[in-house]
Amino acid sequence: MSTAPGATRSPVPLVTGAIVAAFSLVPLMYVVDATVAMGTGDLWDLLVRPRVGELLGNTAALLVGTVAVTLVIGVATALAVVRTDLPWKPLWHALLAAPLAVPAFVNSYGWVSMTHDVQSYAGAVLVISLSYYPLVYLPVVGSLAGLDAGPEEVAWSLGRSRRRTLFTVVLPRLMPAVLGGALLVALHVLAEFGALQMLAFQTFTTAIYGQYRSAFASDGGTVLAGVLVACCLLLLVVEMLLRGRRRLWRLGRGAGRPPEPVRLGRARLPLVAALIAFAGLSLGVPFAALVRWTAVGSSTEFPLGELGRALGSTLGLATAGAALTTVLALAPAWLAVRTRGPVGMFLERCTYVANAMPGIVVALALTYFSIRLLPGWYQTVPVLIAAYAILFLPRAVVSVRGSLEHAPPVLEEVSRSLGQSGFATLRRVTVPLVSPGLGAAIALCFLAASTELTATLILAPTGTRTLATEFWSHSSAVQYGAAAPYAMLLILVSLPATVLLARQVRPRSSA
Amino acid sequence: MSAVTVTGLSKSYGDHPVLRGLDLEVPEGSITAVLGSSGCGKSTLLRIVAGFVRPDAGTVTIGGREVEGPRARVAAQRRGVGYVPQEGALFPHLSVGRNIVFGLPRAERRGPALARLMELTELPADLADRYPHELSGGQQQRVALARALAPGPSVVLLDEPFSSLDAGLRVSAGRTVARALRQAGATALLVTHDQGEALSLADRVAVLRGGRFVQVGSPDQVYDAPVDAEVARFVGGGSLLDGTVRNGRAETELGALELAQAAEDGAAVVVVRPEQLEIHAPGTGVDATVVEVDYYGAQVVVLLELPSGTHVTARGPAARPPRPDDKVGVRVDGTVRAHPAGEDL
Repeated sequence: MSTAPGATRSPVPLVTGAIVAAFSLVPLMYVVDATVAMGTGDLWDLLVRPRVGELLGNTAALLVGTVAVTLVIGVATALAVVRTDLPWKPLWHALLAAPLAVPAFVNSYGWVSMTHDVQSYAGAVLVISLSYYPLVYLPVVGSLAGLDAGPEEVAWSLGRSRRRTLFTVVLPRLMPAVLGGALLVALHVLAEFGALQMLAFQTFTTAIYGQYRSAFASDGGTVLAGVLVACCLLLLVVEMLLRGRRRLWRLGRGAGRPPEPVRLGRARLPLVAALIAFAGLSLGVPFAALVRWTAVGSSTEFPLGELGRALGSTLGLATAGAALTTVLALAPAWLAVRTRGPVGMFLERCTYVANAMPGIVVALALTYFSIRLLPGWYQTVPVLIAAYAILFLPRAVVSVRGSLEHAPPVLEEVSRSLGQSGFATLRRVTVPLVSPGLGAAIALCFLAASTELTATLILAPTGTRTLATEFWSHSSAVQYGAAAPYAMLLILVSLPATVLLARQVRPRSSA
Repeated sequence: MSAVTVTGLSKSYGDHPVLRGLDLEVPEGSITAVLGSSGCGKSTLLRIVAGFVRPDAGTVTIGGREVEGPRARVAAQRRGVGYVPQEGALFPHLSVGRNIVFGLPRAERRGPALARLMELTELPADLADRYPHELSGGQQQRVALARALAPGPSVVLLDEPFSSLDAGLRVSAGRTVARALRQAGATALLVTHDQGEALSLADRVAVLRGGRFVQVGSPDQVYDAPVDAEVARFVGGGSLLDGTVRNGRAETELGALELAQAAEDGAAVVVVRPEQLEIHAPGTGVDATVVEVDYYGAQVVVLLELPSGTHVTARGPAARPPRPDDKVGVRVDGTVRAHPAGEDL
């Protein structure tokens, strides 16, 4: 029986949701407004030139390379960890998720400070893939662990080989997770600034930053930003089309029964060796570099005062950013879960578009609008925090939405029928059910904000230094030793979120 | 005196009318079942009484107080109704004990009420510290009932409370719940699509069809004297045969049958209950072919095809069950009811 709509509906979530959606579309408004202001002639001249073609080629090549490599690594490692009788699975799961705790620009620093050979296309694909493959690995593990063995066993009984079953029965059901992971990798690659700058590989994002540095908010930068945003939106659309109706594929009630693990037999030792070698590349190289530069670097020093100040301002900014982001996420998430109407879905989708907005574009948009509308606010803390909110709103909406789904309306109705007022119901039922998810949302946004580099470089008030910007200024001045302590703090700060994410999915169901 | 009175209740979703001018009285201390197929609007009725949904027109009175109507609207939390939704909807973050005392004032939550309610609903006392996910479906349902009864509501509303339980559990859970409701002296309004549940648990059954009550009465009234052929088919599972009433008998394919109640002469729909159809060797009664046999241990339900192609259902002891495609003879035992043909169903 369908659930009837509620008796009374307050307009507050809808109005708030509309404001939040408009806020998250600020970067898009900037691109449109600045492009329209330019006039078609200028726009055409700036758009159609060899430089744009070269950047497009570079960006596309990097995108294709990293997405392909991360898909292969992510799916293969997930299959090894979930579906085989590999020993020490929890250890491998932890090691395979761990690169998430190393910001990509720190990983690049590790590689570049060891060998300049990575400053090439192949090097960029390698280093970026090693940083971002967990974005494929984690959702695929989650999806695989919940997959019921039934269809596979049916396929075997119908005479399909294990290999053909893998490709025709298992992988198609993993497609939503694989596509979602590939989209995340692609958007991260488009938005990546620090790592690619260090790897000396030019893409739209690094070019926009260069333009901003040399000519501030110039038309050239705006056009590049427009192309970058168009690429991001294109990816969103492609992923939605590819996913199509697959989203409707849901598992039945309860967790699936996992199939018997594949016996590795003689392949066991080589697989363990391969995983060790892989961990050496993804974790060993950056850590070796950190240890080496901390120990022997001539510029190494531990300026405790400066480190403390950078840590303090990082924690302060990240806390404010996370709190604002989570509060803003409440209305769209509520609309999506509770009203399920077309307007609610539309508003929630608007915040999803912000997913595709690279930090550099968000930063330029806020620069553009603050200089035009609120001149006193340029490079102030509130504008920087607004940038964090726009950047991290999509992931906060996803977490908050998930947490709201733990509090179905029927529980509130039962509470009302037991004589509890709206406020008492909120306090005794809704908040206790929702708060773990809200906590996770705040934690995720906090950690994302504390390692954010691009927008912080552009928007931070003069004199405000965060761990990421301090690390950046030292490492780009080739003071590798001085950068090392900041890199370590960045990893420490990222660790809790990584543990949280790795724990959300487990190689084996707890049964 | 009625615990709940509903008059002229109407509700539409968009252009789709769900309830059309509904009237119902739930007597104090009774268990009243609203019986209807899915989508007939019975859950909507319950949600209107509970105060979760506003009707388009009509009034609802609970315990003599008008809670819904042109003059008044009382919020759900001030109506004093207990609500037991489908699948129980226990608060997952609270232990069984804290679920049960949820609706009590803070001072009374630690008192003797918990032990009394758990005993009433036949829950072992050691379950109090468990969490809902550790309970079986039947236990969850009883916790939900104990929680609803705790504040002493004027009426308990149960929305398909047993539909999520498996068949065996459903009967025993239903009996426990009915016993607890009677012992607590509570008034209950139960909504269900399961006629067995309605007939066995309730004092009164109200049959809902097309947004209206077509019959309200005791279980035996509804079963033995259905107001029309459709109610007979829905409540008793009877087969419908076309026939003609003449000289106080109904002439049908199964012969001229004795009427339980006088009916007007003319074309009629005749209801034959499954337990009235006797299966014999071919030659006795009317010839028929066995289509399907459902074996239930002590009983068999046999679907038969008559020479005209009409299907009828027979139920009887499983001593020597027939097989599909067997030729048998069937005869009707006892009296039947005839309803004028062409009645708007």
